[in-house]
Amino acid sequence: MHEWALAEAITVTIEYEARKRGSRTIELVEVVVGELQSIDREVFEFALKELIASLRERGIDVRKVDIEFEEAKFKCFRCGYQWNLSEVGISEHEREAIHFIPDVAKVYIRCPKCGSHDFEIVAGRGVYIKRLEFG
Amino acid sequence: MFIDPRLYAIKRRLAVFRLIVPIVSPKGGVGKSVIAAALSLSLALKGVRVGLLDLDITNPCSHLLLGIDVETTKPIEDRGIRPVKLGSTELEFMSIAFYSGNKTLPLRGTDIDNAIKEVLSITQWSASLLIIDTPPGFSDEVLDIISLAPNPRPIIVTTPSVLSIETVKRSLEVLSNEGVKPLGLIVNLSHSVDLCLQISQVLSLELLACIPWLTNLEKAVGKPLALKDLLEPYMTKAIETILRIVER
Ligand SMILES: Nc1ncnc2c1ncn2[C@@H]1O[C@H](COP(=O)(O)OP(=O)(O)O)[C@@H](O)[C@H]1O
Ligand SMILES: [Mg+2]
Ligand SMILES: [Zn+2]
Repeated sequence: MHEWALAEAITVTIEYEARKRGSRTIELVEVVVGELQSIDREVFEFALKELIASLRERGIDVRKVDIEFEEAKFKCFRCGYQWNLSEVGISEHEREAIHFIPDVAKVYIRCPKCGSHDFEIVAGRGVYIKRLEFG
Repeated sequence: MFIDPRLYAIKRRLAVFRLIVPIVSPKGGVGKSVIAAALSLSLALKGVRVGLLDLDITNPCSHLLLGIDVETTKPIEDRGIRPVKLGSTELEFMSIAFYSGNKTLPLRGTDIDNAIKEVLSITQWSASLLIIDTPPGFSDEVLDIISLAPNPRPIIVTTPSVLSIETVKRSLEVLSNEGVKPLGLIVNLSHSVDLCLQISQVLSLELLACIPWLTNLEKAVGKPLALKDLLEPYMTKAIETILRIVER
C-alpha cells in the first residue's frame, strides 16, 4: 500500500500548488516514478485516479495525468562504471527494503566492476513531478 | 521542472504533532541516544502518545537500546508505514534500520537528505509528541528536521567537558539564526548538580536534567524498562516540561 502514500503525496502537492496560484484547473501533470520504488503500476494508477477524483470534489480539476517510469541507473564514485538494476541481482527481501527507502540500495548493491558501495543513483530513484501545467 | 512531492507529504505528516523534540549535540558519545530512548519511554508510560524516530541515518542504534530486533520486527504498510509499537507500551518507533538491517549505510550527504525525506514522508504516526534521536553535529539530519518540522524544540545534550560546552555555544548560534528555540539543556555524565547549573547558566539554557555516570547502564542496553528506570529519577524536570506542553 506504499503506492497509496506516493499517490497521496502527489495529489497533496497538486492541491498545494494549485491553491498557491489560485488556479482550479490543471491541464497536465507529468509524474516520474523511479524503478527503485518498485511499485505496482496498476495499484499506483488506480490510487492516483481515486485521489484525483476526490480532488475534483474539492474544486480542483486535473485533466490529464502522464506517468513515466524511469529505469534505475547507477554510477560508481570510485571507478566511474555505470550500470543498471538488471546487471546486479537483488533478492525479493532487498527489493522490498529498497522500495520503501531507495537509498538503502547502497547496502545491498555494489559496483559490478570494483565492488564498491560508494556509487551515485543517477536515475530512477524516487517519485517526482516533472511538469505541472495550469489551465 | 522538479517538484518533490515528499516535502508536501512531510508537512502533512508532521502536522499531527503538538511537539517535536530533536535531541541534539555537536559532539558524539554524550548520551543522546540513551536519553532519547529513556525519555520517550518515561513519557509513554505516563500516558503521552510518543513517537521515537531514530534519525541517525548512517549509524542507527535506538533499536539496540530498546531491544527491538530489526530483522524480525517490521513496520506495517498501510498507506505509508505504521511505526512499530514497543511491547505493551504505546511508544511508536521508526528507524531506517528496519530497511538497512544491522548493516552500515555507506551514504553521502545527498543520500542522507533523501533517506530522511523518504522516512518522514512515508511514516504515519499517531502520536502527539515526536522525540528524535539525531547524529552528532549539524549535518543534514539536524538541518533537515529543523527546516521541515513546524516549530521544533530541541533538547541540547552536553557533558561537563570544556570541548563539549564550547561547541554547544557555537551551535546555539546556528539554532538561533534559524529561529529555533531550544527547550533546554541536559548535562550528562556529571558528578555534581552545581556544575550542571553553572553550565546551564553559561549557556543561558534551562536545565532539564543532570545525569551522573550510571554504572549499570551497559547492563540496561536492550532492556528498555531497566534503562528508563535508571534515567528517570534524573529527568523529572525534562518530563514535567514536556508534559506541560503536550497536555496544554
Ligand atoms: N549517564 C551515563 N552513564 C554511563 N554510561 C553512559 C551514560 N550516558 C551514556 N552512556 C554510554 O555512553 C555511550 C554513548 O552514549 P550514546 O547515547 O550512544 O551517545 P550519543 O548518541 O550522543 O552518541 C554509550 O555506550 C552509553 O551506554
Ligand atoms: Mg546516538
Ligand atoms: Zn566501481
